[in-house]
Amino acid sequence: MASLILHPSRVAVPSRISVFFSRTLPFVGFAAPWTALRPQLESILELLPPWLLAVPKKKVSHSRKAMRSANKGLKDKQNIHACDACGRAKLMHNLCHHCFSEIRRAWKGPTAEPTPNERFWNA
Amino acid sequence: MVSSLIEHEQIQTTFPKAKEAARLAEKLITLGKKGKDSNRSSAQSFLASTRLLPKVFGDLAERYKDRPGGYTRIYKYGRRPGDNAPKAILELVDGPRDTKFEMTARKVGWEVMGWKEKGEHTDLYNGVENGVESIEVMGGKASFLRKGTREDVAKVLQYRNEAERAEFGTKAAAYLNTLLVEKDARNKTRKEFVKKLSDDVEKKKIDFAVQVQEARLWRRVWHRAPGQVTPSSTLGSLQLAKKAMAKKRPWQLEKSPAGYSPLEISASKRFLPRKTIRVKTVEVIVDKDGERKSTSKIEEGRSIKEMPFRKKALPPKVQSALKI
Repeated sequence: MASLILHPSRVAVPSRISVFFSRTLPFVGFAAPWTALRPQLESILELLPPWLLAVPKKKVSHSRKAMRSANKGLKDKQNIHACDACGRAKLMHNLCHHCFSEIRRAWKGPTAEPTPNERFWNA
Repeated sequence: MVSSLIEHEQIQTTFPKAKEAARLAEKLITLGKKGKDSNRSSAQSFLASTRLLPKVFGDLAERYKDRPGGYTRIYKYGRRPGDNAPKAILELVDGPRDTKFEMTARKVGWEVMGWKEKGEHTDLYNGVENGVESIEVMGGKASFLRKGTREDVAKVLQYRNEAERAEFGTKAAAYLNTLLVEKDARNKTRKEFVKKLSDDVEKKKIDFAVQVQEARLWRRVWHRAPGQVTPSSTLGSLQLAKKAMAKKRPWQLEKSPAGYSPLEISASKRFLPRKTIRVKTVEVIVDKDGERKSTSKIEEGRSIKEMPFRKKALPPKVQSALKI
């Protein structure tokens, strides 16, 4: 078995058993660095026939794909309420975005032109 | 971050950062309230700039001299787009940037608008259609507000002086006036109020650019935001979507008698036995001759009135609810 590892080119048709042994040998008291074994491992992979590797057999049908993604949809938000100050939708326990933006704009200072509110009451 | 909060009175950050900064800021303000030299040097070592020291030891100490802690407020404010981080608004209470003050004023204005639309409490705010200068919220008038609004008003005005309380009334009235303006806008067709705008442009009251801007604003107001409710509506659009108008289950139809909350009624029902209870009372009468006569009777009952052996007294609220 040791000869298999040292001269991999000699192997014509690898048997399953021999491949198994050659793979386990490094673990049985054979103190070699793993880098030295890399070319051997790569060649072993080459020796593996294609029908041993996992691969999809057929294109997944549209219906099967759709069935798999049936429960991947976005979940509805249940925590939506009406703001007590403006009536718009807002998240529960959160600040109303509309009200807060209006308040902040008012804090920045009065506008140069009169607001619609001022014009209505001072018409 | 704490230094930024002291400087700007309100900052926007992520929720965990806000919680931590609030803790530190409140401790710093407590140092400011103490006011000694050693406290001053501790605060100086903490703050990012010495120019904030007079604010902490002067303005903030004065502002919070009566308030026992809780000088900051955190509002949750949705999520940040890039990383979905939970945002928060962290602000100093009772300051110029107090969101709760403004929001509660708006809530009061909204409620009064609701009364106006439903035709309730006409005696409280006469002539609301002509604009209101100030809404009085203390005393008897406040009792007609909703419980949540009333509590918020009390919290917001607790450590404020008279001038600020008057300002609250003015703000609520100003918001009510904007709601009336919006309602007027909705009552008109778009042609009518655009015509009014163009008249103003002719009279040279406003620029044409302003007319264009305001026409857009009116359109937004006229159409309403998606899911927006009116001040007089009790059901939100989401509640309607959840079939609030649909047929109710038997337990949902149960109405509580006036004055008792459903919680009290359910609590009182807990004291009632679920099955009927048979109580056997035995009376033993001893005659002069020493003869004993005993009479027994068995009583069946469901209510506590019929359970004479019950020794423990019920809480007064429950007793009054059951009318014992």
